[in-house]
Amino acid sequence: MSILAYNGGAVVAMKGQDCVAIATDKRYGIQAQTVSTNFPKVYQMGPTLFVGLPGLATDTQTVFQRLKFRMNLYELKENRTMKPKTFAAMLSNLLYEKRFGPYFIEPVIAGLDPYDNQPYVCNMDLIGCPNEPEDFVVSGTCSEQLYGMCEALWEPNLKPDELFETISQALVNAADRDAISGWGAVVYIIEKDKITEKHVKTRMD
Amino acid sequence: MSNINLQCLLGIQCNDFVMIAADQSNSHSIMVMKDDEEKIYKISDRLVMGVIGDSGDTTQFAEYIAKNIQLYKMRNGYELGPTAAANFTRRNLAEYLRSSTPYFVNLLMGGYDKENGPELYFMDYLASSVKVPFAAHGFGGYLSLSIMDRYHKKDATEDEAYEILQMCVKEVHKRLFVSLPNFQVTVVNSDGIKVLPVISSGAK
Amino acid sequence: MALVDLCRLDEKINLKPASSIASLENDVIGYSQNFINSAQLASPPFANPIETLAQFNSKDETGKDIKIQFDHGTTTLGFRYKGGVLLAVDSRATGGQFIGSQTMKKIVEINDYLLGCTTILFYAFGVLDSGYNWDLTDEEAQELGRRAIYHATHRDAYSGGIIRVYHISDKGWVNISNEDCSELHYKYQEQKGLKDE
Repeated sequence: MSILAYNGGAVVAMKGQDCVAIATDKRYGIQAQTVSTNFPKVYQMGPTLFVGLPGLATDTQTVFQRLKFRMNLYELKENRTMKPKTFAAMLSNLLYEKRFGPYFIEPVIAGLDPYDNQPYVCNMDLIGCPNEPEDFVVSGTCSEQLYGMCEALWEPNLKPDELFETISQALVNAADRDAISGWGAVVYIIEKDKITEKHVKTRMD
Repeated sequence: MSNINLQCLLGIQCNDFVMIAADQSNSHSIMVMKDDEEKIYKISDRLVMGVIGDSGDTTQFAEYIAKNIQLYKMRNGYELGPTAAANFTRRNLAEYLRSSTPYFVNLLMGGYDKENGPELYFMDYLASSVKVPFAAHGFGGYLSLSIMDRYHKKDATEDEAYEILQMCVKEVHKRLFVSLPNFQVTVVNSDGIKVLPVISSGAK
Repeated sequence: MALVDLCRLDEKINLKPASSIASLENDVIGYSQNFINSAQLASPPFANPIETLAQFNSKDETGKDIKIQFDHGTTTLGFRYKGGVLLAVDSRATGGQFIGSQTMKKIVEINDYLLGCTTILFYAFGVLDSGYNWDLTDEEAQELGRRAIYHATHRDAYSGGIIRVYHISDKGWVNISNEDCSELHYKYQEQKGLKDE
């Protein structure tokens, strides 16, 4: 079994019309044993910027803390909020520094540009190779299932409420076909002046 | 080969207190060397840590954390709360994990926070830390977790929580192939740390 | 045939035209020798079956070892009490971490008095032992079995789906209930006075 699947978990992010969404499951397990059902892997990094760090839970926590540290330094030095694209570059750099002994996480970034409000989604592999598509990104132990769901459900120019429905259905149904993801989910809908956080009921087995 | 999963740690957090139980066996290879070992360490006035794992690592790591948290209090004039202490411990464990001398320890941290009340943290040797209402380490966890799921309630009294732990230990004695005769129990509440009677296989 | 020779494919598969090997009749005789002599079993129709077949199930096309992942980690339980025997099972089938089915029937209904399930159990013991005694009523026994499986499905990633409860007495077996874990979970949470976490 891969070390990336030791704790289990999944994250997905999608673009909509003037909005983006990011969703995560809440399981923390040790292989087959579910230890906690309150371990979301998505963190808010700025007013309209979120990052999801599914993978090995210890690295989820370490990378989040190091990212927060670097971001605070940037914002103190520059006295301005960070763009999602800049954030992705910073995360990519942080991961590549450990090229030969990597953090075992595959990040997902979702946000609106603080200056022109353009939606942005991005995912990377564990050594920081970025991918910035125009539709959606997935990561975690049920990424194959998530790709299938997203390919089937996503369409361009979804409104915030439609985007919420699409991303929730994608995550919940993908996690239902994965033994080590699920046990509750959190969805964030990111709009220009509004962040909506919704907790989604799922199967708990 | 390590015996980390043959040892057992149990923890329960309720509205007014957090209670931790640890088996007291110290075994090497197929031999039991000791059955009155202390695996629950007092870290500060309202903070305890149950540690299982390789026997040198457990004592060394627990004492290192305890002394550094004491040092922090001396330097700054105030104590680390359970959340801060768990973060400090996690960070240390994580840094040692990728060094040439990692600590092979699983732990539960229980403490009473002035603002937030009792808190319980579950941490494994890979240094991921999660706040939980109840948790268990080791093979004993396979047998205990479903009991805790079944009987745990937020507003349980200390007596009720102790009874749940007794049920778990009874189950470990009945079904686990390893001999873990004694479990020490410690409770932390707003008054501080209190040691409760040992749960033994002889007693009913 | 030059390329075939070069690849030495003929050593692995029999490529001779069908007519030159045997007629259908010969095939029937060839493959049913065991009807005449039980020690005569038909071998696969190519050379060195042991080595040839072994190369297909030990490595994949990239040369990596193929790991066959068996269905595992399910939860079933059974216990005896004064009212007979109670069996309860989940219905999840997994291959690796992939959930293949949530509705599998893990109890085989052999006849009116016999049910078969042979598998693994784990977390169910905790709840079962703490609630068991010989003098349970039928309803208590059914609820105990159901709860034990439910708690196992909540903690074990490889168990889940539908919880089936069977009761066996001198009158034969009866299927008591088939309930979805998800509905049971929220029902039990409500009984505990807990909102969804």
